[in-house]
Amino acid sequence: MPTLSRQYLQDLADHCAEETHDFFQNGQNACASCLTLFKRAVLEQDEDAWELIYRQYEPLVKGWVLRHPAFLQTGEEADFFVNVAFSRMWQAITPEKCEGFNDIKSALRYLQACTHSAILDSIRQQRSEWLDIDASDVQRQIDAHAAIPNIEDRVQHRIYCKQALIAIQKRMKTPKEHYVLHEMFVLGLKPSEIIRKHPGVFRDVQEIYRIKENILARLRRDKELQKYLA
Amino acid sequence: MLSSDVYRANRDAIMTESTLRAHYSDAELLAWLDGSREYAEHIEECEACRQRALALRLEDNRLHSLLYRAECPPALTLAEYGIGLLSEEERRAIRAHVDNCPLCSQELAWQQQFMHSLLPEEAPAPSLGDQWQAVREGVRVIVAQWVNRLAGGAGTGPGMGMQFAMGPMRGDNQRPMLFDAGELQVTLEFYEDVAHPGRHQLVGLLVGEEDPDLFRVQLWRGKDRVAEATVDELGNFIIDNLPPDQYNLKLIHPKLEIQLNDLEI
Repeated sequence: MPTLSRQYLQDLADHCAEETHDFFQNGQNACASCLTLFKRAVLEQDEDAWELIYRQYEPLVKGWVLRHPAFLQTGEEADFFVNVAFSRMWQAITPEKCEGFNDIKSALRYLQACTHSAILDSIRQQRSEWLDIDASDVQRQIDAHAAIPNIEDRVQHRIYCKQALIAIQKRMKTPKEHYVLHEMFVLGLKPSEIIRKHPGVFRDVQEIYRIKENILARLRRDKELQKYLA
Repeated sequence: MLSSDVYRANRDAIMTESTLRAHYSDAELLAWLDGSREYAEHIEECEACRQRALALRLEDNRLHSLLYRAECPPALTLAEYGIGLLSEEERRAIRAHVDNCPLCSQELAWQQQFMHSLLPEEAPAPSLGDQWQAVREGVRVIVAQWVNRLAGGAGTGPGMGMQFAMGPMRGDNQRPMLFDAGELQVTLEFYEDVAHPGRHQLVGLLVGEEDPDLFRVQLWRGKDRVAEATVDELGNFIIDNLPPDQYNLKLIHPKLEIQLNDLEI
């Protein structure tokens, strides 16, 4: 980067620091330098600008993480989510969304949403693994933290899981089987919770286990589904 | 080896037709895997049952990890919904899902709790007072509909046959209550008010409005207005110190009034 441009960015960052201070102290929301920095980072894909944004807001995002109502459940370090939040904003923000940032509040609000979603993804992953406890999970957790999956990978995985769900739903023969598949596997409810949620539908938890037994047996016999269940 | 192959290998190796009856069924093993002690004595002694249970757990786990929340929007999309960034079409699709998904409802409630007060609040909206009275005649009134209270019944599958509950709406802090008011949505949650033992705190979120801080919140008990609050720029509002009772909530804007009636804490 030419020296002049670096100096320009640094000046922007310095002004942005002052504007951010004013915003939090006095509610002054007109932060031209911060917005310029954000737009330069996103619209021009300027990594230096992005690094300055990171430096400017990293303590703020860390504070958000520490105060998130679900943070303690994750068992993760706050820095992990700070990194995910910034990389998520970097990946997910489009020029259209960025053009909609009319003030610093809207830009920070989006960063906050990225922080929130980073924590939620960790909780979702954890709960899915909590439902899926076997020895290989230890390795899976290590793998999961080795690299933050990018958006394309996440989208691919979601499509794959949705296709599997649709294929499996087609194998259900009764409304009760649909209930058990949905409540137990998609929502992760236990049989006692399903009974409470749908009073009068099932006689007892044993009936739910019998339905689950039937579902597993049917899927086991289904050659087409083995690609999903392997 | 596929999990189904593991299952078959274990089963075939161990169980002949004559021994089958001596062991527990898959349903009973599944119950044992979930912690039921009813079958524990036999299973813990029986290698055959334990092996089958292990194979079942493998299958069960695979299915769980594949399907868990397969219908839910990505966390970031849900968060974007929570801050009103999505297009009308996307918003409608997410709203339809959230109305039926307790997990996404919970995540939206976390978001509302998380985003509240982390950014500096702007000056409170001016008191409505006389100005409000003057425009009162032109106000559109919407009675919001509680959309995520479901009543299941035999013979209906998930997503089918959902009915709206009748009678008072009980806040039980189990999951957020979602209300539909045309273009706008309101989420309510009730918590124990730790500062006032025996009393409750109402935490709300207004979504779908560009300037939610133009709204004020009023809580009514019968003909008495018992509390007022402002809505912040993110759509959050909180009312503390509420005794158990039945209330009506109003979200008031100079041109619009949203009523949430028969809320029972």
